[in-house]
Amino acid sequence: MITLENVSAGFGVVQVLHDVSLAVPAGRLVSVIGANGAGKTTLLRTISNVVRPSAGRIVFDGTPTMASEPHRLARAGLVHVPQGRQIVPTLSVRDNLLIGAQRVAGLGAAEIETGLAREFARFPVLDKRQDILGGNLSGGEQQMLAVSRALMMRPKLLMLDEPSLGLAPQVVRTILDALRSLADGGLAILLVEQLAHLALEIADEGHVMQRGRVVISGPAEDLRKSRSLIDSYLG
Amino acid sequence: MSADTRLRLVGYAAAALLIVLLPSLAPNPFYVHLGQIYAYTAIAVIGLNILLGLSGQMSLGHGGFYAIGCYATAILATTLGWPIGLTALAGLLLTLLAGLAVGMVALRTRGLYLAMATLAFGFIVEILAQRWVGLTGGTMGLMAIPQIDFGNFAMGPTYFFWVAAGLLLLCQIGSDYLFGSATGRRLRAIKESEAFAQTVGLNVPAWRIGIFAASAVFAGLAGILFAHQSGFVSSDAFNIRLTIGLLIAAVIGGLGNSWGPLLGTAVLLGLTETIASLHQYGPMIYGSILLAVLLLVPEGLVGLFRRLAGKRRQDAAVETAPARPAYEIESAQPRDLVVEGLSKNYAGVSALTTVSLSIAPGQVHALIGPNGAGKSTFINVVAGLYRPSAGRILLGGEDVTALAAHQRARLGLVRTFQNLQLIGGVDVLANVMLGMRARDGIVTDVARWFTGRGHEAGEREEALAILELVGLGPYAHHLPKDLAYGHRKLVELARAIAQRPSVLLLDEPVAGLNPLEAQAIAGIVRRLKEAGITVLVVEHNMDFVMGIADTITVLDFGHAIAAGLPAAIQADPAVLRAYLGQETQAA
Amino acid sequence: MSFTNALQLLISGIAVGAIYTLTAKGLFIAHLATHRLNFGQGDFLMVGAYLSLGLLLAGVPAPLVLLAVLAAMAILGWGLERVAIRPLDRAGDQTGGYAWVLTTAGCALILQNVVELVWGKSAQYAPPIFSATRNNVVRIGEVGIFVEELAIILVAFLAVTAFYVFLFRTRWGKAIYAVAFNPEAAALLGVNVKGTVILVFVLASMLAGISGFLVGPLVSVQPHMGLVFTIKAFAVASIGGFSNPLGLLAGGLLFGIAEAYSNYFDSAFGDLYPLIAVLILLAFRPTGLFGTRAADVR
Repeated sequence: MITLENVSAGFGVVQVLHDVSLAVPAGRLVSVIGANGAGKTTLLRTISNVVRPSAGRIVFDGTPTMASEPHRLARAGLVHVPQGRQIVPTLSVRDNLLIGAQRVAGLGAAEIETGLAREFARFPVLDKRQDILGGNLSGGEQQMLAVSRALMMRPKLLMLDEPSLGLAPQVVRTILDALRSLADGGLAILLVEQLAHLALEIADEGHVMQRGRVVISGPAEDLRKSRSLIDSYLG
Repeated sequence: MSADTRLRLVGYAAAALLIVLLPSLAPNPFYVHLGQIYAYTAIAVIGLNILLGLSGQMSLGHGGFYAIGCYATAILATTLGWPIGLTALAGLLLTLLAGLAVGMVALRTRGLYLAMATLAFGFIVEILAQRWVGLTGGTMGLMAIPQIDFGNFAMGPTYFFWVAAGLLLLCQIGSDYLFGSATGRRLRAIKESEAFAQTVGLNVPAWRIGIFAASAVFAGLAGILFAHQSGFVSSDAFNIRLTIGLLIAAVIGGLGNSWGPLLGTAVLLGLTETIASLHQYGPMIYGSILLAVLLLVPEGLVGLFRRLAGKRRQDAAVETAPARPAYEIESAQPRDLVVEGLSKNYAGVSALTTVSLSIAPGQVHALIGPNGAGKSTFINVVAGLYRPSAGRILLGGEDVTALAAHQRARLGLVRTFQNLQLIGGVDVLANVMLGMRARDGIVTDVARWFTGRGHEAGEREEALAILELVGLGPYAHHLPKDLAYGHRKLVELARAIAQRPSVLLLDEPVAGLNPLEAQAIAGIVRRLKEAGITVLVVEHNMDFVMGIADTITVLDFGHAIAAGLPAAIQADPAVLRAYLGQETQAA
Repeated sequence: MSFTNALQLLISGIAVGAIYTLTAKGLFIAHLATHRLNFGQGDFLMVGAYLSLGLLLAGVPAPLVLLAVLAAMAILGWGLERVAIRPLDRAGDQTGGYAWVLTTAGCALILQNVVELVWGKSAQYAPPIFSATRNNVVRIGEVGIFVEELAIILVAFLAVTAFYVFLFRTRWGKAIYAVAFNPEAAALLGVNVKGTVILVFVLASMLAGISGFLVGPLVSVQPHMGLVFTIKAFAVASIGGFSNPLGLLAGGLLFGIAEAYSNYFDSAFGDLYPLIAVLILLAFRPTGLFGTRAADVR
């Protein structure tokens, strides 16, 4: 669904990403792990074109992303759940779910209603809190809302930046399980996570980043086995 | 003595010399007259620059303070016949009072509201000057205001110039000190994050209102000098254009730069003289200048010169400093933390219900629980950011429930934030130094700053040592925004250590860190504990919590559902159900 | 003061208050989405007033005048965003967070000057919009009420209602809230952030335009009238609390009515009392009468 070929990017004179190549096909869950400052967040922001790549090629769904603004990519199904969830605190849970969906071409009122029902079934707690303001949700509820809000946009690729941040273990479990079953349903997922062992547990493939480069790649199963090697890159 | 200091001292000496000689060098009296206008206008602009550039508060009403100083001295000198020294003093006092009154708004609001309030204030003063004819003479004005000539009419303009320019030099030195000292750093902190400022023990309202009133006094002083120079004041002098003119000067010079006002005022006066003949296009020219400067050279002339000269300000000298001894964590004084029956309701929803806990010095207590259980609320209430609905907080046996956050911080109750609060305008080192109390008294500090010898050297060394302790040594001169999330968290921890806490509240210290980084933090927390510091930590990372906590309290829906030793907590069925998710269920 | 007087003042107060509300809505919506606003909002109103005055005197029918003013003001709002707001993002924060105050004020000065050059400095009187003469009165029992004022109230409330429908019922309203919270996150949800920012400044400018159209018959029109309206719209937005769109309506009416009565009792300084009252209110309730405190440090 997405392919990166030798992508480099940075801010001003500081280069953050060096020569990154990876691919996420439909139905696969790919995790990216690495130490703080390794460039994981920048990687996702570059794929979304919030940060413009300085070299390399990114192809989403058969089309290079180079010329598309972030909001166009999002409408086309490249949906990015940013770090910290970014739930609009002044809008209700329901309105939060609608923001993105109402901008996707071809999603009519009926499809949006179906989508709402689907997401409320996925995370029943959201159903109960439909009319609560986003700012009054707990961190876990916000993360579920963030995932649902992204799914309302009918994504072809779902990218998540540290969904576990600040969440209790139980909620992390719920969310990661949801991601796994989404991938099993055919969605391409790119997951950036600090909690390496959890991320690798549910992933099909993993990439370890260090100082802006992908240093190890492989099936998640193999990476899980070489834990000490991976730890050496996380320090 | 650094190059900067030398440059500054030479500058002062040259300025003093110029002031003394200008009247005899000037080819005709017009230049002295211009020098007078320059001197008092620059004083007002300096005040505005401190307010806008350093403390980040906006004023669109400084013309009002200028007018108040002007009318006060003029009315007292003409109607009541007071001597000039006395009227000037009364004028300063009155602008101070007006500054404090308007600053009451600045106390509780910022930005937009303050801009609006000051705009309205300036408007009200203008209307009063126009319509209160009995007092101000309205547009006809007040005449025959005595001049500053010390009894020698012929030398009057020269004496006046010396007085005004001398005052300007003093104001400039004062402004330089503000910009170069801990005071300026604190003002920047208040500008960027109120929560941060309170946490390092700053009384934010007092600083805000103080700097606003001080800035008003600068404008008042300018107004007073104007009255005694021109000898005539009418309400026409005080419309919004006066304020805009002062703002233009501040912006042209470069906001947030101590030398900006001197340059900006010179340009403003040049402009005023030039466009006098084009007065029907006056507003358009002023407006275009504002736009052009802000959009093309937002850093102002001082910044532009720097850019052209390719000079980057850097304290590179510190990088090569000799290896320093490892930092020894010191606690200010061992204090225990006792919380009794704490409750907190938000608009009918209860976030905390009678939570109690007590932590002895040198103990680490962890607060865990699901998201939304009230952990952050608990920290915010204990730190003093929120008022509790019920309950008491005791620090070393002293009831601090009624104290504000900055007062608790001064007693050694120090915290870090889950949502980072760092000062983006200064480097990592300065962020840490903001946590420290000044070591020198104000007189010593001013003297050291003036001569450039050992100014804040001790604080600097200590801050660098703390940064090395947390592993951020190489990042001391980076801006916080250039650091990764986890490293920014460490800056907060370093700042907290610099405060020499008795009790330390850590709000999710390892969220966003990977397991190895978390282990490093655990090591630091253990050393904090060995130093006798009382630690309360909120965290989700169970490996981390189990590794450092002596005791644990579990919160769920605002209730403490369990408390005890880590082993007991891990085995508690209620905890497993509520938090650790042993029985998997959707929220 | 007789009952008749009191009622007439009340109606005048509501009419003026409704205009303040409209002007303040422009401040509110721009601030909501971008945390910036037009410090020359009153001057935009002034431009709207002059445009409608000019067109009405040229014999253009009132509804067409309103449309033309709206169109012209929309273009002006777009220009303001391009000239005074968007370029600031490139400049960074070197001028502190409030450079927009000065750039928008700079644009206002330029507009003032242009109007002065075109129409002259002296005050002018706009012809009535809805009736044959300025002083056309309907009698309700003993009380005579100006037709103009009633019509102004009606149009203003239609505009206010349309504004609420837009903000709370459309997808653009949600986009504004999303951009307000975090522009980058909004873009990731498919929101066109630049477009939204232009939209709010265009709307703000159009609201100033309607206000200018309506205010003509109530006051004399002159190039320096803008500042007073900026200040009063601010005062209204502050009473309402910038965060509360409904509080804004209450604040506008309250301010307009208070001003009508205080002018009646003190013709020399009457217009200052409501302003001073708002300043005192701000010192003690910084978020206004209806604002909610949004401090959050979790």
